[in-house]
Amino acid sequence: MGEQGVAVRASVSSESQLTEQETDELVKEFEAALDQNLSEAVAAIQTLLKFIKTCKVGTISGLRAELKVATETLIKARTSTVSVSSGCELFLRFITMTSLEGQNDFEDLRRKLIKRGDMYLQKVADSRQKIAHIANPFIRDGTTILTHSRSRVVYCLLKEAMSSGKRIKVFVTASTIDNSGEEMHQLLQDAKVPSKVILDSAVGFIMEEVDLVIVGAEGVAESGGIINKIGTYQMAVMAKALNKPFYVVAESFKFVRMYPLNQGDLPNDEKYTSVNSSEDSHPYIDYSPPQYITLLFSDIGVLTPSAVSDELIKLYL
Amino acid sequence: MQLQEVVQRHRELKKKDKMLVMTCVYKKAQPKHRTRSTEDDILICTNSADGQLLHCEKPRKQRRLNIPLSLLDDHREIEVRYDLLDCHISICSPTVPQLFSDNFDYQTRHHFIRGILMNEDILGNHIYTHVISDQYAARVCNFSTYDAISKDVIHRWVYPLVPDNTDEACSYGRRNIYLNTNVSLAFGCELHEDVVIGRNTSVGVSTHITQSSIGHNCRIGDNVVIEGAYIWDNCVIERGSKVYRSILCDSVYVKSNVVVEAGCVLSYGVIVGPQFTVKRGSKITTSRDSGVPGDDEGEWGDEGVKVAEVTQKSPTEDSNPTEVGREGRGFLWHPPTTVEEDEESEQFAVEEWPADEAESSGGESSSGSSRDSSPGPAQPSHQFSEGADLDNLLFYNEIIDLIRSGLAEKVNTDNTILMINAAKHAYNIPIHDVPLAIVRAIMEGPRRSTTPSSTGAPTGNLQSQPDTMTYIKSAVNFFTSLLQHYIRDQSLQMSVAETLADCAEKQGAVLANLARLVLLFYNRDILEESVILSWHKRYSSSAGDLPKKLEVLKVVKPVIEWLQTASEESSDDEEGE
Amino acid sequence: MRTIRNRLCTAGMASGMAVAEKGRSDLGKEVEEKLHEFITYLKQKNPHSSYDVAKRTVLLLREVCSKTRWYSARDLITNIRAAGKKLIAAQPSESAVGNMVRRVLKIVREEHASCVAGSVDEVDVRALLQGRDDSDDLSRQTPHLKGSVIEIINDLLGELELSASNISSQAPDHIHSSEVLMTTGYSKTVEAFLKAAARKRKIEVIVAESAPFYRGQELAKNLAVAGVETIVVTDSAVFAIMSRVNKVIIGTHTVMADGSLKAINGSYALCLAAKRHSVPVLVCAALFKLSPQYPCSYDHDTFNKIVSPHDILRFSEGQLVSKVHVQNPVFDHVPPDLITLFVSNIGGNAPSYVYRLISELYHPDDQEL
Repeated sequence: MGEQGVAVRASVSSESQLTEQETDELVKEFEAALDQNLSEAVAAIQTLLKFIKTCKVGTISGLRAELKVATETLIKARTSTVSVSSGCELFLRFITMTSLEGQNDFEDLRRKLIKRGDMYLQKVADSRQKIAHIANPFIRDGTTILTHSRSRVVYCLLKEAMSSGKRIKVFVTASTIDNSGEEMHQLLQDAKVPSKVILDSAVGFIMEEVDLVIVGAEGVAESGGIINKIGTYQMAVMAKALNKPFYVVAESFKFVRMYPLNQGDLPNDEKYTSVNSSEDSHPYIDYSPPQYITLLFSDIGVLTPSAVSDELIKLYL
Repeated sequence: MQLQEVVQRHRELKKKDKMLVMTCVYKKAQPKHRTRSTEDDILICTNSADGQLLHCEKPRKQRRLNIPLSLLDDHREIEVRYDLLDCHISICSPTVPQLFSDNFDYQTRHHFIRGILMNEDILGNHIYTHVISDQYAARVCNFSTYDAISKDVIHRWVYPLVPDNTDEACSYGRRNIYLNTNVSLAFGCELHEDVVIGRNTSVGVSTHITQSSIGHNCRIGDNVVIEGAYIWDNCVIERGSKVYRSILCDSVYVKSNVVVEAGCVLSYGVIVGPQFTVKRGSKITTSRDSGVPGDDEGEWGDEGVKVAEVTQKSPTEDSNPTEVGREGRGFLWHPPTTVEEDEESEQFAVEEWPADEAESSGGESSSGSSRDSSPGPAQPSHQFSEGADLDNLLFYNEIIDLIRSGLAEKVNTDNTILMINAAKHAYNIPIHDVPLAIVRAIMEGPRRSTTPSSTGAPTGNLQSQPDTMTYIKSAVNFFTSLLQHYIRDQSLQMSVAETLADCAEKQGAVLANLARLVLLFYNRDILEESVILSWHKRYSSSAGDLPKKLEVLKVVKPVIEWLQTASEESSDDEEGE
Repeated sequence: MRTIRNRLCTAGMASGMAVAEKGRSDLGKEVEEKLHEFITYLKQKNPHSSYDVAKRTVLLLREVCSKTRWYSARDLITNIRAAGKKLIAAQPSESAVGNMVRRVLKIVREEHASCVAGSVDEVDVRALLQGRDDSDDLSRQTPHLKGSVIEIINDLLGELELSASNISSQAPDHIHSSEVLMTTGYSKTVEAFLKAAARKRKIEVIVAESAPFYRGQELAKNLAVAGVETIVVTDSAVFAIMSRVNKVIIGTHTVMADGSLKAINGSYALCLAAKRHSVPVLVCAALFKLSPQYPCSYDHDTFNKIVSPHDILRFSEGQLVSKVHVQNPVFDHVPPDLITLFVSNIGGNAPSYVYRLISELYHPDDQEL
C-alpha cells in the first residue's frame, strides 16, 4: 500500500534548487540541532520539520521536491550519512503515507503534516530509552562489556544498567580515526561506570576477558547486517571466533533498504569522509554481515538478524 | 521425603503384625558424615528379613558396645548397622501415647524405644525400621546439625525445598549464591560460594562473604570478612570486622574491627564493642539470668523459619567490657555446673562445634563430650586406655581381688586359673592381656589405694616400701606356676617386661626394688635372660619420659650387667621354651 | 494461522512494553481453587511432561474465560494475565505455562479485532504511531467475543492433542530407508516420530542413555518393545559413534525466540558432535513449546533448574559430601546454528524462521505479563 497521492494541482515543476541562503539556513539549523546531543537522524528530522513550517511552496509535489533537495543537502553536510538518509526517508514516508484526499487547502494539509511530524519526532526521541529498557535484562550483574567508539544508544543502555544496580565493567576502543572512543570513555566516567580505553588493535587480546560485546549502528541493512564505524567488522569476527555474544542496539529509523554483499558494496560517498577522495583517505564505516550478530535490540523489540528484513518491509511498505 | 510411603508401609506391616507399635525412619549416611552428630549417633540391629528393630543404642564415642546375644535366639539373620542417621521421624500406632504415659521412666523417644525393645518378651510390641537413601530427612538438635543441615539445604540436597523455590523471589546463581529481592552489593564485594542473602540487605565495599547465610534487612559494612557464619535478621556489622563460623541472632550489632572467632553464639540484641575479639566458643546473651536451661536456645529451625524474639529485658548490671568490648552489651554465658553422672543429662551435652578436623585430638573432644569413661567405685592407679574401657577395668579389679584373696587364703592355683579364665571370658579380654593384668595386680600391693590417680602418679607413698616388696615377693613366689601358665612365649614375656618397667615408672616402691624384681622373675623362670636383655636394649633406645626412664635404667643396670657377664661366661645356660 | 489484516504501515511499531492495563481481576472462587490446585501440582519435585502442563493451563484459562465475570476484552485480558502471573511464578522454568497464556491472550486480541473491525475509515493516527490498532478500543463491548474466544480455545486444545501425531506423520518425509538415527533422553514426540518412521522404513536407532536421570534407557526399552532395532550407548560414546550416524533427532523442552533450545542436558554435546561430523540435526517440537522469550544469559537463574545432587553423588558418602560441590542441572542450551530443522505440527522450519512463527502466535504486548 503506497502513498495515496493527492491530485497534482499544477504541473509546473517547482524549483528543484534551493537558494544559497536557504541552504545555509538549513545547515545552520542542522548544526544547532546536533549540539543538543540528538542523533544525526533525529536532528535531520527536526530540521526538515522546521523547513516544512517555513517553506514557501504552494503545492504538494513542490513540497516533496523541496524536501528531497533539503535532505540531500543535509546528507552532504555531515559524515554519517547512512542514518540521516534512512531517517529522512522514513520521516517523509510517514508523514505522507495515508489518505490525503479531499484536502483542498494546502495550508490545512501543511498543518496536518506538521502535526504528524511532531508526533513522529516525539516517538523517535523516546526510542533510546525504550531500547535501554529492552536490552537491560541481557546485561547481568558482574559482566564485562566491550564496545566500539561512541554511541549514544550504547551509552544510554550502560547508564540504565548501572542505575539498576548491576556492577559492570566496560572496555572502549579508542577508535583513533577521530578519537571518539576517548569521548565515550569520558562520558562513562562522568556516569561513574568503570571503563577503560583500549587500542583498536587490542580487540583480539581483550576479547577473552570480555563477557559480551555491544555496539551501536549507523545503519541496519536488509540482510540483517550492520553498517557502523570502521573497526566493527573485525570486532564481530573476533567475538564469533571466541563465542561471545555480539549485540547491536539501533533505533528503528536506522533501518535502510540496502543489501550489501561485501565491503565494496558500500557506496563510496558514505564510506569516506566527504572532504577527501577515496584514493588517499581511510574508510569511515564498514559492514558486518548478519552471521556474526547474535541479536539486535531496537524500539520495535528484540530481533534476530533474519527477522530484520521482515521488519524493514513493514516499515517501508 | 515423602511421608505417604512410610505411612503406607506402616499400615501394611500393621496388618501382618498386630503387635506393631512404631515405624522409625532412618537415612543412610556413613559414619563421620557431617549431618550425623555424635550426640545423636545411633547403632541399630535389625532383622534382615523384615526390618524389625531389635536393638538400639547410642554409642557416644565409646569404642566397644554390647549387643545381647539373645537376639540371635529368636532371629536367624541380624543386621548390625552403624551407617544410619536417625531422622527422628516415627510413624506411631494409636497405642503409643498410652504406652508412653504408662511408664514413668520414659522421658524421650529414645527411652521409649529402648523400653519397648527390652520389654518385648513381656509386652510383645514390635518396632520396625524404614531406611531411606535418596530422600532427605534430618533433625537439628545442636549447633553442629544446624550447620550441617543448613549446608545441605544450600547445596540443594533437599530439593525442592531450596531458598529459590519459596514464595519469595530469590535468584540462584553459580556456586550456590542465593540473592533475595533488593539486595544491594557494592563494587568490589565478593560472594565467593554457598551464600544466602536475605531481602533488603546491603553489603559494603571489598567485603568477602563465603559459606554463610545472612538474613533480611542486614547491613554489612566495608572490608568485612564473613566465613561460615549464620547471621539472622536485622543485624549490623560495621567495617573491618571478621566473623568466623558463628551464629549471630536477630538484631545483633557488631561494631567496627571486631573479630568473632569460631563457635561463638551471639544471642538476640547483643552489641559487641569496637576493637574487640570474641573468644572462641563464647556464647553471649543479653539475658542476665542465664542459668535457666533451654530457654535461651529456643527452636533452632532451618533456613527461613525464624522466631524473632528480641529479649526485652535490659541487663540489670552494666556489661563487662572484657566480655563484650567497650560499647558492648551482653554477658558471657556459662553452662550450669551439673555433674553429668547419668545419661539423662543430655541438655548441656552440647557437642563441640565446630569440630576440629584432626582425628582423635583426645583432649579437645573429651572436654566437650558428656561422658568420660564411666567411673568405677575407685580408680586404680593405672588406666589401660583413655577411653571408657569398662570391661578392662572390671576385669582388672577382679584380678586384683583374686590375687589378694588367693594369696591370703592360699587358694589352689588351678582354681585361681579357672576363676581368671572365667573372668576373661565374661569380660571378653584377649588372652595376652591376662598376664599383664596379673603382673600389674601383683604390683599393686597388698592394700587398695584409696586415692584415684588418673594420671598414674606414683602411689607408693601410701604404703611403705618394704611392705609392698614383701607382698610382691610372696605373691610372685606363690603364683609362679600361675604366671608360668599364662606367660607362654617370648612375646608375652616381652610384654610383661614392658609392663614391669611401666609399673616402675609409675610406682616408687616398684622402682626402688626393680632390680630385685627382675632378678626374682628371672630366677623363677618367668622371664628369660634373652628377653630381659632385648627388653633393656629396646627400652633404652625408646622414646619416653626421660627422667623416669633414666631412673629405671639406673636401677636396673646392675642386673643387666650381671646377666650380660653371666651369659658371656656360660654357654649352656638352660634355655626356656 | 491468521494474520491480522489491518496491521497497516507501522512506522512505529509496538515495542515490548505493554501499556499498563488497569483493572481489577476478579477470578471467582471456583477458578481460584482450580488455580491453587494447579500451582501445587507445578511446585512438585517430579519433572512434568510439558504436554500435560500446557493442556492443563489451557483448560484452566478456558475456565477463566467462561466462568469469570468480564465485560470487555480488556477485563478478560487482565484476568488471564493475573492467573498467568501466578502460574508462571510457581514454576518459572516451566515455559509451557507462559506460552499458553500468551497464546490465549493473542486469541482474545485477535477475536476482538475481528469482531470490532468491519472497516475503519479514519485510521487513528495515534494508533498508527503506536502501531497498535484498536489498542484503546479493547474496552469496547463485544457481545460475541466470549463465544468465539471459547471456540478458538477449543481449537487450540485440539491442536495440542494432535500435535504429536502431526509431527510423527511427517516422519517418512524426513527419514529414508536404512538410516541410522541417534537421539538422547526421552521425549514422547521423538518416540512417536521414530515409531512412525519404523513402520514405513527400516531404521536403526542409537539412544544415548542421558545420565544422571537415565531417561534414554526408558526410551530404548519402549522402542525395543515396538520392534525397532535399538542400541543404547553412554553419553561419552556419542562423539565416537557419530561418524556412523545419518541423522540426529532430538526433542526439546522449549524452543526460545532466537531458535535456540532449552533441552535436556547432554543435547548440546550431541549437537556439537553432529556439527563436527556434518550430521543434520532435527528437532521435533510441537508449537506449544515455542516461547517468545530470548535467553538473556545462560547463567540466568530461571533458565536452568538445578536439582538435588543425589543422582550424582549419594548423600551417604560421608565426608565426601562436605568437601565436594555437586551441581545437577536439568537443562542445556543449544545455540541455533547447530540445528538444521525444526519439525513441528505445522511442518518443517529453519531456525532462522522462528521469529516469524512467534510473530504469528504471540502479540508483542504480552511479552511482559
